[in-house]
Amino acid sequence: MGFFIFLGIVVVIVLWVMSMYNGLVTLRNQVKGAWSQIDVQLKRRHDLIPNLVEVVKDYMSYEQETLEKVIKARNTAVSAQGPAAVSAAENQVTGALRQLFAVFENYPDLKANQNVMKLQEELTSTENKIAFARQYYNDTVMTYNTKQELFPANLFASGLGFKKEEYYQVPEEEKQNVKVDLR
Amino acid sequence: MSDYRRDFAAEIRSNKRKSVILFIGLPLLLMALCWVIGRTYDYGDFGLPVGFIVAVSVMLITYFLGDDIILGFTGAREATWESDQVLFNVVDEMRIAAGLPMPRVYVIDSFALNAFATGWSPDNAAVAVTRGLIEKLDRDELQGVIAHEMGHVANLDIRYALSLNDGRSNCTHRGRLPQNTLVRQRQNRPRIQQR
Repeated sequence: MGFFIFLGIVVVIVLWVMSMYNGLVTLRNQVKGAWSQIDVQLKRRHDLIPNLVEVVKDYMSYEQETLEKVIKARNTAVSAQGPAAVSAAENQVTGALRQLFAVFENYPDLKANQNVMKLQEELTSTENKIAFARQYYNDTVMTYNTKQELFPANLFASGLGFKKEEYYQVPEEEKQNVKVDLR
Repeated sequence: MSDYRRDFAAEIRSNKRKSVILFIGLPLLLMALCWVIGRTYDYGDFGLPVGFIVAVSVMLITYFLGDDIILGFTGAREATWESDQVLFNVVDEMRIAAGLPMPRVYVIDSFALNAFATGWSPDNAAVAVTRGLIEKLDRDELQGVIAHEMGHVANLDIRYALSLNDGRSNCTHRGRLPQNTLVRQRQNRPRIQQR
């Protein structure tokens, strides 16, 4: 009798560890998938920028500097290696693009060009997708980390080879308040 | 316990449970009705097999065609990136934010301001928006509406609504949809969203 009770307890524990292990594996893959989503969108932006520059450069002969800045930032981002470098480079791209779109306002001809408008919408959307993909990545990391830290999963998680993932952090320079000069 | 304290996971579980009950329960009720009618009109138990066939077909139709029926009744046409770039992009953005697969996107030719989501699961969900909504709202506002619809997809409210309708009130209710302005079918929604 006692043996069967013991066996029952062992079976329950084994089943529980199994379901916890499977749950953590699922979450780990979700975290990986979420990270690759960000890369997909970054890649998309790299592909779109040359198209946009190609289309607008005829209109904007006086803005060579702005255009070159965008291209340069884009090329730096494409060749950047490692998460920190990529993150910094991509933020340069975001800044350069914002500057470019701000200059668009001075060129009514651009606003009339369907092609330019479509490309601008596409880049705006990609920008949003990058932000949302990062937010979703952080969401999944939080779920994954929490699941590992909760008792009693915390007794087994690291033993089974699960590690806590790092959040995507907003770079310091983006946390600064925007300076508005109204003079 | 007040509803708004429940978390999303609990809502999803509750929607799944209710969906199963409705999905099976309503056709069973229909079957019972057929049996009772058969008895009343002296056909003996002949109503029972008839009712069974009716119930099974209702279930099959709801499961395989439920969303198509709804979309058909509203006259929704599938949208593409070429035809509705902004709408398509906004849906893509919101499904990334929710971590869901890309749903099918539909547009209803109506001036009314309305939107709905349907489907059995996030893997085969569809989001439909009226032309009026696309034209009236700016990008951010449209994003808000789509975010709301993606919430219905993620929470499996869409499955609940399909099970509840079981192919019947779909026809009366969803068919009328374009006439209501931004007022959605409140009775189809779980209580948490009514407030």
